[in-house]
Amino acid sequence: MSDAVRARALGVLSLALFFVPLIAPLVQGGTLVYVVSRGWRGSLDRTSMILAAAGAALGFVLFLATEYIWIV
Amino acid sequence: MDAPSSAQSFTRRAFVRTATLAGIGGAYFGGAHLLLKDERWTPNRSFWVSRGREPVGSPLLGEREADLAIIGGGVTGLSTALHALLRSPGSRVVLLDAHYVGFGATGRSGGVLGNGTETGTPPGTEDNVAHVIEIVDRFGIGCDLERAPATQLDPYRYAVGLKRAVLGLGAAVHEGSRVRSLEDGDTVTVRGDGFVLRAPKVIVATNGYTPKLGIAASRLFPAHTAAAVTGPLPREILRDIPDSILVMTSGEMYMWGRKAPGGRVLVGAGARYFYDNGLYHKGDGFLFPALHRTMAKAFPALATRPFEHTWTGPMGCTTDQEPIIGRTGRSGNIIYCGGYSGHGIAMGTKAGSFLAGMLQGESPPAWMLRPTQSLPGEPLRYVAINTVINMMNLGMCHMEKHV
Repeated sequence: MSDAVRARALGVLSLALFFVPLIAPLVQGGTLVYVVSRGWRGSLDRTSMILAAAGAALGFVLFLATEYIWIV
Repeated sequence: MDAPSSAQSFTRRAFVRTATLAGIGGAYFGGAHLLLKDERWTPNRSFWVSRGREPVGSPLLGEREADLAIIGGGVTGLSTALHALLRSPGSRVVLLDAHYVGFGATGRSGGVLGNGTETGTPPGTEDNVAHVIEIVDRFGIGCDLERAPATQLDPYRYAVGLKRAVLGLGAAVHEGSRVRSLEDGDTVTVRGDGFVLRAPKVIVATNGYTPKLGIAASRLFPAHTAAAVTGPLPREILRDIPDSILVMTSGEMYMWGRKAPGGRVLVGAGARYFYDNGLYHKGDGFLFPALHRTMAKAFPALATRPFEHTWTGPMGCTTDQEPIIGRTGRSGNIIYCGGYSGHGIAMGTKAGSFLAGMLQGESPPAWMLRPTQSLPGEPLRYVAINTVINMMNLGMCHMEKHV
């Protein structure tokens, strides 16, 4: 599996697991670390980098909303 | 020479990577364990208790023997004591509560009475409301009971009235007596702060607090919910509010409510599990604005009416949202009951009659003895329960009704 595919998969997972406490921030944080490390090394194309980072960021926002806003 | 060196280097790198990931995972979950665990108990700040606390009984001190020990001074424990004494007058019944009767889910509930359980009306629960009314009338319990159009009462004063009734029947009720451990045997030894109580039969009626005693932890869990009450409202606003409120907030979750004494409206909603069966609610700052938004959306006339009292508390839940009765201990002489999932006032009173029957060899309804899905330990427990709660909040999960 290439770094690009792995990054995109992590982005999707970050978004898909937004309602799973404890696990969601771990996956989202891990995705961002992966994107930064592989991007630094130059093994990620820009689209994969944006998709993965956006998935992680949006997933984290949804996670916070689930924990603190959509609670009733 | 190159090949073995390369293989060695790969193995070392794989080992370092795996070890790093394991270390990060361990630090993450270990840190979560330290950060999320909280041994405090949320005090009872309910509207009912704010109307005035009743005198509290003395704690149990020293060694004592009883025919029946009951742990928990909520409706289940008090109703069990009441029915046990009605069946066996003169027996030595000792009831213990860590704080005071009605401290737990009983004194924090909305006091709305209904037949059945959260998911239906299984056998034996069709007359739960009539059963409560019969007890209130028979023992003259002053608890602001409203019989129509909705049946509702002040749950804290109902618990206090039950306490007076069992005291009148000869029970000993000790408040401020927190149980720390149970030692199994033909005679169970109940140990607490400054006391030892021995009894051949023990009823654990602590509902959401039960897992903290190390009992039924794989079957019961505490889910914290919130309730709030407005200040007195003008008659023209109250006129448009139903006596009994039920507003769906997703396909599965709902806001419940009622009119409360003094021309107020009382609403409640939400569920959240805290790490390691936590009994202390954190995050009220977000919860009550959300509850107020939900109330204002359903009843726009209440949008400018702030909450006068807000409170939270743990309710005992099971994985299928139905209450359970179970036995534990080598001789099966420790009986636990709970998991009303927010429908405990009438059902808990009825469960007390079932438990008193069990003490004399009768069987409770078979559905209460059913096996339930076993809950895992932490941290999986925290993840699993809150994931299901979140999915229910988001309307992604539906619990089947079994009747």
